[in-house]
Amino acid sequence: MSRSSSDLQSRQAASRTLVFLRSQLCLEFKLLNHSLLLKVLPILFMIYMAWYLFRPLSNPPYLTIYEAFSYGNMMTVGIAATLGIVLVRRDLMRTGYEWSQSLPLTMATRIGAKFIAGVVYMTLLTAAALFIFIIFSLKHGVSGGVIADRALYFVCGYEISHMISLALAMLLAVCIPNRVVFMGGFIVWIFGTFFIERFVIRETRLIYLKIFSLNPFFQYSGAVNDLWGLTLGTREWMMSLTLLFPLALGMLAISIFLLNRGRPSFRRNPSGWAIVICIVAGLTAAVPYRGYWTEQYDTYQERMEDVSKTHPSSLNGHRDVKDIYPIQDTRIRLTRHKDDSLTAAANLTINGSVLNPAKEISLTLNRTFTVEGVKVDGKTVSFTRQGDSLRIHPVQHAGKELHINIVYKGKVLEFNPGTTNLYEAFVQGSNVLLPQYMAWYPLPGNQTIYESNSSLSLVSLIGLPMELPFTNFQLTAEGFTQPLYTGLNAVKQDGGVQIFEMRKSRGVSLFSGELAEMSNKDKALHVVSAPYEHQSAQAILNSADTVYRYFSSWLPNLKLNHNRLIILGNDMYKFSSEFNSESNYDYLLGSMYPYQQYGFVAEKWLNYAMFGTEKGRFFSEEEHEDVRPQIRSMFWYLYYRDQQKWTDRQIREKVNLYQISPLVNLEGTSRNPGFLKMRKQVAKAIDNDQSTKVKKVLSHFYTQGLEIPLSIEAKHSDFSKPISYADWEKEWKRVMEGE
Amino acid sequence: MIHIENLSKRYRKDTWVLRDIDLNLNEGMVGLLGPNGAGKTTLMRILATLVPPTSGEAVIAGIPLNQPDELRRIIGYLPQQFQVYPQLTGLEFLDYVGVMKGLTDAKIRRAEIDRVIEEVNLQDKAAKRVKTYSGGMRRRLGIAQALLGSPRVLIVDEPTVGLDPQERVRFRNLLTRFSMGRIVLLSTHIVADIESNCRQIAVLDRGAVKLAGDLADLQRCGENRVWEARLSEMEFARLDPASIVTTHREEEGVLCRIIGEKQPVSSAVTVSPSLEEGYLSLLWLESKEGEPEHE
Repeated sequence: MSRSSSDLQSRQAASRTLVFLRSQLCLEFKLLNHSLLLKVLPILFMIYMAWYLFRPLSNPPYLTIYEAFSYGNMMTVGIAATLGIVLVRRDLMRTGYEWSQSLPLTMATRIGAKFIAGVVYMTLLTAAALFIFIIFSLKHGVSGGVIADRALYFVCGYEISHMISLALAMLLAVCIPNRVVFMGGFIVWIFGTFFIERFVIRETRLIYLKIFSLNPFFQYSGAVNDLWGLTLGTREWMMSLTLLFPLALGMLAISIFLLNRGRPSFRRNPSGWAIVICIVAGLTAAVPYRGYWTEQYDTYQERMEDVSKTHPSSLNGHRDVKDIYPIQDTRIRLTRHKDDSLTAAANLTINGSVLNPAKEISLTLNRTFTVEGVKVDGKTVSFTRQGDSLRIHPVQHAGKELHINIVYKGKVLEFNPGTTNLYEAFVQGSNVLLPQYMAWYPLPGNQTIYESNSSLSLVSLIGLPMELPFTNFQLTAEGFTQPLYTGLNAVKQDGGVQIFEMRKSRGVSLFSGELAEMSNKDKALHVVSAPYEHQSAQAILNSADTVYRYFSSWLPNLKLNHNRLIILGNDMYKFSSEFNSESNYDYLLGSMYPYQQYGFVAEKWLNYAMFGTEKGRFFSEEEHEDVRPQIRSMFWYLYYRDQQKWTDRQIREKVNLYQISPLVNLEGTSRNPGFLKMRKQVAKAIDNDQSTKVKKVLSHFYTQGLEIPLSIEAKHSDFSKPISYADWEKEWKRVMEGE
Repeated sequence: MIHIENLSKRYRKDTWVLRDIDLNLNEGMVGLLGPNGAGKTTLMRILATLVPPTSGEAVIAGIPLNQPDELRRIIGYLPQQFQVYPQLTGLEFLDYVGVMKGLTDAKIRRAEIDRVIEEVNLQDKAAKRVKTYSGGMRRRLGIAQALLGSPRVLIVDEPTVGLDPQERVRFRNLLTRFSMGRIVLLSTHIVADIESNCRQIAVLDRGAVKLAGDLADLQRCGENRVWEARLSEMEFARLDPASIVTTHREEEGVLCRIIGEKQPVSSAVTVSPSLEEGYLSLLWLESKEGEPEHE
């Protein structure tokens, strides 16, 4: 046979196949279209999504979206499985439709058409969910780019899970010709959506098994985090898609192979080759997937074994701290390279008098980093590195200042399969999470960074804040693609170099990612938020601005300690939610706060920002000795009475801030009669239009400082001293009775 | 022409459904007779390329059985159990089958569909959903899809089962018309279905060909084996029921036609066999050959 005639035959065969496929598809669509239930399902699904997303939110928006898609996918996988079974059983497994096998129509065409029709139908459900998601996201002020990214993730996840479910269900129906197949489909659905996540992956912490889950949107996937979840997981997600696609095709090929077994064909069963190709493609895709997870788990395992050697098994969150001393100045130069590795140079200035010259200088630096060299006062010195400990061998300093230079490098991607976020610290592309508690820069003393339990195969960062002395901190960061956010003041953030500094810092965490910053009119207040928290951020900013404008109108020396609030999204990682935890720390919001109580959050923020910490409040032995907590409460009482025009009763009903909780019990449950007298004084003055005088009194004490640190820290703090009740009375009399 | 040589089919290890089938079938209507379980449906399914034979060969209209993809373009097949998608109309269904049979041009396809609808007399119901059709209408729709594209070979497996007499006659006439210039292979266990139409017949029993020839050959199987006698009640009761073909009660006794090699009663006389009697004689003979001899 000549080549041209052979080509012509091939072209004719291909053309015929396309015609048959189109006709078979039309048939499948017609049959699907006749089902009232199938017509109604996308509408019902849309209603479900709308109900889930638009009901009053009790969780942050992105978490709500994720849950909606997750629970929705459980349902759609069930629909896909049932549809796959019905598509096959309808005619391929019935004797009465045997006539169709005498048509010149291949099983590949029939199965392919059924699969495509099923996928197209399921796309209607995806589209229904997508539509509601877009409306919801726009309502929350999310930018188009972010919506598109998230939409792509959810759509791809839905489509691939539908494809897998359809292909698997069709294969089941081919293998099990009787109605028992529906039971089989049900079991596969339960196992593939619910059981595998709850009882296999969570218990074993073998995250890579999620490739076998029919529902990719489970809590344990890391993608649940609004800010970093998706971008951190992109590489792994792409790898899993390249593995799942041949898996779906492979199952279809097996179905065709089985159906072709009994049916005569001139060619050898071509689907056999298709199965081989799919297996080869799947194995090829599995190599990088396996390599990725092997690397993560090996690193994790290594860390666990290493930590277990130095710290006995414990998971009580307790941090051992030894040999703490103050570091006067901490200057860090941090450089990120294109491969996400970090190099850093830390320059520490320590007053020699706090060190024992006979002993080593203990520092803590995360074991991820390799120390390249240490110099003291310009001279290279020897050091020991063990775990997170860095010990510089004794140096003679005669009580003078020591200048220590430490050069270190490493790559940060702290994988932890024991957490839902999967990553506890990272620098990857524009995503940066370097929490202070991981010791990404040298910290004084010997501190435990990790806790572990080898019998449970768990090791993780201890999320408790570190109790460290203050240091003057300066950070110069280079090579980061997005602005960094810290608790420090930003001095410069352009030209690729970012400089931050702050006097009296006690701990620096770094954040970067898809964060956006918004400010009030006079740029005094800033809120930085994850994409889905912009609306909340704006609401909080507006509430905070109201408070700020009120107080700044009569407090001439109003100073905000923390004028930047960072909202990381629906997950706070291991950061404490309490504003009182530490000073000079970034405060984060997440699902721990009552959601949508923006006024409450704003006031809590401003309470801390204006007055500083009040950690030492509950340790005052005698209330008469120190009425700073009460004075702080008076500011708020004045605000609610003067600005909000609330009555005492309304304050009792509406206000829920613990720092003014005594005001909630306005009938006098306080044990301190002096405090009740203070409140009555202020209330009476306000009632008599003497708010201006009250402001004068409060302003006087504000100037003195109202921060209440713990007593052991007080010596490092020059912000405030205790104010006695007598001091209050004296000033009150002075102002009220005329100067 | 259908040429079948040594065709065999086995489903389980020792269960031969067809054994060494040799047949040469020419143009026209061919009847395939046999009792239930004879292997007729299996043979039909093999020829319709639904299942492969275990061994042997067949050539249908010059195309060997090992080229099933080519064969499927020239055959029309109506199985014994025929189901259609109830949601479709007759027209939609035939349009789908028409495309599959290579009628890709819409106008030509529509003309062909109209032709076969007229052939099967479904003009009034063609635009209605199949779920509204009676059993007979569905059968007619089945034959319509088999006729679509004017296949060179038409294979119909017990097409008149479940049809009323009028439908049955209509079917036979339709198939007869279609058989001109083509082969129509019709399997049945009802002799009347082939009586007026078939030029050739083959009789299968227990997977083997017992007779291949024409109607006269089948009829001749009954010669000197069909007896007629008027019997008393007692004589009637003594007869082997399997050998009784017809009975007719009269005042003088029971008038019977009986199959047998020997005269069953002294009053019995041989008669000219009908086609059915010839068929029954053939089967009876086969069944007796399988039995051990009794004294």
